[in-house]
Order: sequence, then C-alpha cells, then structure tokens
Amino acid sequence: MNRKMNIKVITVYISIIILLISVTIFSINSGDIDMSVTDIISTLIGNGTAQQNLTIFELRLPRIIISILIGIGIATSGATLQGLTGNDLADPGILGISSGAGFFVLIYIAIFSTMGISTVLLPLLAFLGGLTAATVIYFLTFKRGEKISPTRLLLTGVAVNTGMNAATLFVTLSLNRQQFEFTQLWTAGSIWGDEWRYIIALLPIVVILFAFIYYKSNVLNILNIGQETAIGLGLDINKEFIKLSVAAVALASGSVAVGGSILFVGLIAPHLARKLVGPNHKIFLPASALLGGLLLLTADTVGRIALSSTEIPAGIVVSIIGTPYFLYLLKTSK
Amino acid sequence: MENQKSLATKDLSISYGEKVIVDNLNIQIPKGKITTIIGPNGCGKSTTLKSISRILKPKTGSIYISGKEIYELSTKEIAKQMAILPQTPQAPGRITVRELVSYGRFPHKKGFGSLKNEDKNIINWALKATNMDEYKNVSIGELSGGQRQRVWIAMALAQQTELILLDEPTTYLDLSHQLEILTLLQELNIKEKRTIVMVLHDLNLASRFSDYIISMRNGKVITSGSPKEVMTKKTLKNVFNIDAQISIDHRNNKPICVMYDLIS
Repeated sequence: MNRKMNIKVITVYISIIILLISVTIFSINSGDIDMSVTDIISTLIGNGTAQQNLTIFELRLPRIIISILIGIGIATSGATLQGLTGNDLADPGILGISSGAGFFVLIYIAIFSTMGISTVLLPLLAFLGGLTAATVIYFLTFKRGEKISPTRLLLTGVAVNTGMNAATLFVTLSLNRQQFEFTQLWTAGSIWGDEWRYIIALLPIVVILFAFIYYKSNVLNILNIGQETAIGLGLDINKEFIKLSVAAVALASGSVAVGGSILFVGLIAPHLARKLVGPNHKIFLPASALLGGLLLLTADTVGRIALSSTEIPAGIVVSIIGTPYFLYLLKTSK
Repeated sequence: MENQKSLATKDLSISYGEKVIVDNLNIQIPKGKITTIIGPNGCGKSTTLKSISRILKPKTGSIYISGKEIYELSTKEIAKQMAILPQTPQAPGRITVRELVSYGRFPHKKGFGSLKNEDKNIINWALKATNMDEYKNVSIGELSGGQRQRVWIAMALAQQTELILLDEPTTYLDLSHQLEILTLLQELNIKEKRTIVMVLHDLNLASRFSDYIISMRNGKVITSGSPKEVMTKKTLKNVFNIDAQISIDHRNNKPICVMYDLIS
C-alpha cells in the first residue's frame, strides 16, 4: 500500500469516528427532557440529579450503546456473507437470516411474554433460528462446483424471508394484545432491548465474533479472488466457509434478537466501506463495522426525534435510505 | 525413477455426472521441464489440469506429487509445492498489484498472516521477475490483459513452488503478449528451475517453448514426448483430425506446423 492510500484510509477512519462521536453526543442530548451540554457532562462524570441520572444512564446511554453494537454486528455479518458468497447483495436481512432469528425469538416471547426474557436463552434461540434459515438457503442455493448466481441467492433469500415472516404472522395470531404490539414493533425494527442487561448479553457476542472474523481477514481476501485460485493457494474452502458463515449467522442473530428486524444495514455499511477504503478485509472490516454502528445510531436518533408524538422504529428509518440504495446496487451489480 | 517425476497420474478417470471426460489417464511430468498438454476442445486437457489442481475430484485413480498421493496431503501442503493459474482468474478490480501478489504467501502463513520481511522480499522479487515492479501500487482493473496475466504469474511465483500449472495462460492475449508470457515462463524454467505444466492451443508455440508435449484426445493420451516426437503428421491427424504440413524451424531446430487442411 502506498502513502497516498494510507492517508486516505486514515482520513476515512478519523472522519467516521468523529461522526460517530458527534452523533452520540447529539443523541444523548435529544429527547423529551431537555439537557444542556454542561448538564450532560456533569451527569456523565457523576454529578447529575436523580432525574438526569435516570435519563442518561438508564434511558439514553444504553439505547445508544445497543444501537451501535447492533449496527456493528449486522454490518460485519453482511460483510462476511458478501465475502463468502462473492455477492454484494448478500445481507442477513434480505436473505431471511434475520427473520429466521426473529421467528424463534417471537415463539419464545409468545410463550413466556416479554417479562420473563432470559438474556442467555434469547440470543441462543435467535442463533438457532438464524441457522435454520441459513441452512435452508444453503441447500436451495448452492450447487457443487458452481458459482452462486446472485439472482438465485436473492430469490431464495426473499422466499425464505417471506416464509419466515408468514410463520411469524401465524404465531402472532395467537398472541395477546401486548405481545402482538411487541411483535409489530419488532418487525418494524424497533430497538427494544435498551437495557444494560441486553448490552451485557450482546457485547461479548459482538466483540468475540468480530475478532474471529477479523482474524480470518486473509481467508476472506483469498476467497475474493475466486474459488479456483483460493484452492490453488491451499485454502480449505469447505471448512472455512462453514466456520465463517456460522459466525456471520450468529452475529446477525444476536443483533436481531435485541434490535428487531433491521434490513439494509448489512448491505449499505460494507458496500460504503469498500468504496471508501478498498476491498482488503484487514482494512475494510473495521470501517464497515463502524459505519454500521453510525448508520443505525443515526437512524435510531432520527426515529426518536422526527415526530414529537411517537417514535419511528430505526428499522423503518434505515429502510427509507436503504431501499433506493439497494435498488441502485441491484442495477449496478452483475 | 519416480524422483524425476514431479507430477504423475495413475489410472485417472474423471467424469461430469455420467459423462466420462478423462479415461484411465497415465501421465508423467518430468521435473524441471516445460510440459505442454495439447488436444482438441473437450479432449479433457483442462479437466485433467483441474483435477490435478484438486478443483475437480477424480472418479477413480490417483494423482501423485513428488511421489505422494495428493489426497493424503493437506491442501496447504500441496499449495507449498504447486501453484495454479486458472484459465480466467477473477480479481476485484480495486486490489492493487502488490496486494494480489502478496496473496501468494498465503500457504506459508498461519492465522492473521502478517507479512514478515522475508515475505516482503519474496513479493518484491516476484514483482521484479515479472517486470511488474513499477506497477505495484496500480489497481488490477487499470492493467491490460497481458499485464494482468503477469501479475497472476507473479502471485504464483510468490507461492515459491517447485511446480507451476497454467491453464491456457495466453488466452485473450495478442501475438506479442502471448510471446511475452511464454518467454517469461521459459526464463523462470531456466533460471529458477521451476517445473511448468500448461495447456496451450497454439501448436507452434507449444513446440517452441516445451521440452515435453502430451497430446490428448477423448480423455486419453495419444502421444507424448519431445516436440519432434509429437509434432508429426501422424499424431496431428490422430489428435486433431488434420492433415498437417510439418517443417523444421532452423533457428531452434523445433518442428513447426506450416499449414494444415481438414480431413473429411
């Protein structure tokens, strides 16, 4: 890598981080209860009133952290799936992996209601659901020795997605009013798990799996130059494919379990990152993760303040930006 | 005797579904030489190469590399001994030349695979050997077909293998670039003692650059040997069904096919 490229990469990273910090500060600051910047700072260093403490530490901060974590998780999952399938349109949301995870989560909630949610069981169930969806997609899409066609992958994803959503709808029919409302919010991609205990559940999942995938950057790089060349370079394709896809599914499932159905983040963030810093996974994976966090936090903040009467779920805000972007990608991809 | 063979197949049969492409093939590739496989379309030459590259699993039979069965070795172990250049390799256009060449170090790396000084020296050497040094920071997408092919060869060189397999390395290249690539391979063979195995369509180029030619038809070897032994009227009739007029190029004393007619 030459110096010009280095400077560009550093500039991109600094810009993303500055943006992320700015949005975080803006997000802490926005809401029904007005707080000045000095109020926020004094609360953060421990001199706030009881109400200020509650607002920042119990309401806004957890919500911000969980949004960023979910964004990182989904973006990294998308980036990995794109690397594995060689397809820029692979996104855990579009492929139905998220709906699979969501379906299992909703069955659980239908049985136990939102009150008795176990933060251990929840991501596990979501993972099981995501894995189920991914397995179905795998068997419907992959043919030995053939390159996966983007159309085939997408169509299968859409079908699995629809199937999972139909199953979800079927389950919701048997729910009580409160559970039904929760389901509606979940499907719209509302970040509901905004409590510290969900952060504690999600944080290790995101950190460990991101580290694992990042460690495998070279594998993803090699896969990028085609299967035949990858085999020639001594890559055990089947083994690495399974490891990395399970990691990607787990990452998406965990994120979706507390974040609801969020489409497009796993599509936009990696694509944008690749445009900004190039296709080398060692450089682009962290950028994609940060962009995912930034994107979702921004969407959630906008959704919180756009209408004074009610909140717009982050998933819907993302979709408003994501749909045209997806159509653009669809048009330009081969 | 076996030690002189860097690569060999024994009773190798390969099929796509029911269709048998390669039938009980026994070939032996001499060490330190340039070997070219020729034959008409669909004769199984690329399939054989793919099978040796372990992209296609053979139906029956064995492939030996330096005397060992390839399915007994780990894929990484093989990659340290044999580099492969597929027919039309694809790379994302935004990868730089140096990045792509650095992937050649993959089989020698573990885990995250950070490049050590030794790796960097090998990469720089591979770039110089292929005359791509001045392009090292250029994106693949900005290169011409001939330059791109040289980058892939540089990647194979960075793999530091004794054996290099190339499936039609001159496809899509114009006359001068074809020659340039083959001259480069010849240089590598002489200077670096690499064993080179390739598939070529052009008989005269095959004759000019090879020490050993294997001609195939319908998944079987018809003749193999030196260019003079293979480039004969009789063999070309059996392999390509053509009536060839063979002459000798006095500059290098190799046979050339001056003109040919179809045999009806």
